[in-house]
Amino acid sequence: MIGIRDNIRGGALTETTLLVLLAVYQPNHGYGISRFTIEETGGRVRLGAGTLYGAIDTLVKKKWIAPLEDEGYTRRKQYVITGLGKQIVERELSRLNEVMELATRVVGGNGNA
Amino acid sequence: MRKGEFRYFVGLLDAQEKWIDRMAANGWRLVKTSILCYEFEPCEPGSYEYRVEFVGALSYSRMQDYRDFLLGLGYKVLTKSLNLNISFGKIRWRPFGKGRGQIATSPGGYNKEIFIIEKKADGEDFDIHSNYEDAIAYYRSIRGMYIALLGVVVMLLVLRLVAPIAAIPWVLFAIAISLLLVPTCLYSRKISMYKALSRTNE
Repeated sequence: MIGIRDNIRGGALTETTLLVLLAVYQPNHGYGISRFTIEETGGRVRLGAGTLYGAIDTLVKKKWIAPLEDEGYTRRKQYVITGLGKQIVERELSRLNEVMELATRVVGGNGNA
Repeated sequence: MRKGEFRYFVGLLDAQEKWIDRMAANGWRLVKTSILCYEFEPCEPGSYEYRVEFVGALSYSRMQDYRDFLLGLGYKVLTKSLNLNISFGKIRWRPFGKGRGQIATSPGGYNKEIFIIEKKADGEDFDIHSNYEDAIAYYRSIRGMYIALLGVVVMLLVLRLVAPIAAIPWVLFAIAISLLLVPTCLYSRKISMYKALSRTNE
């Protein structure tokens, strides 16, 4: 059996990646991103500090998000999504819609499975 | 009233974390660390939680950046040494470091291989690594440290075999190797467990 990683073929984003990208449509810092994911998922996703640090670092390297130039004496670095990042999110959104449509069709949808 | 406690955990991160957490549960908040000593102050029992994070594989600037990030999240960060280094004057070789993280120079990574992260207990989860991929990378960095140290011991063993320069007793090699193999295996098991889980879930 060959373990094919889904994301190589389908290009799916991890949930962590998607949530961080969504959190920086408005400029946001680490703490804000963390609160965003907790609040918007009703506490289901709680990103650990190390995980969030790694995720931000990866996304900056990929140029999907960018750090804002330091405005004064705030110690917290702020980040904002880039044009490329927005493209990635839009592609993921249409992929998710496809998947949802498929799953709904197979499972039954509208609650009458 | 402060109190100091001497403890040496030989790099056992979990044991250290449990001990500090238990002190906090009993009303002692960690306020200062030095090479072998932990200083505590009285606090409301159970009002703080701790996580011990291995950061020895990071370069100094990256470690500072990570520390600032943690402070920005509202945590308090204390640093601690693993005491598993080879020093040579002001330069220290940390066999478990990655790239530039291997060499620690003043005022850089001296005695700062571990972060002790403190959070006010608020009922929320306090996991530092919350997804499989990141947890795997983190445990690999710890295992890498033990493997590097194993490598050093094996190198010394070879030296001892070919040129008995210093009469290091053989039993010391046996002890060192078995002491290092235990955590190496434990972390390997953790890594493969998370790998199995990450095959279907995120």
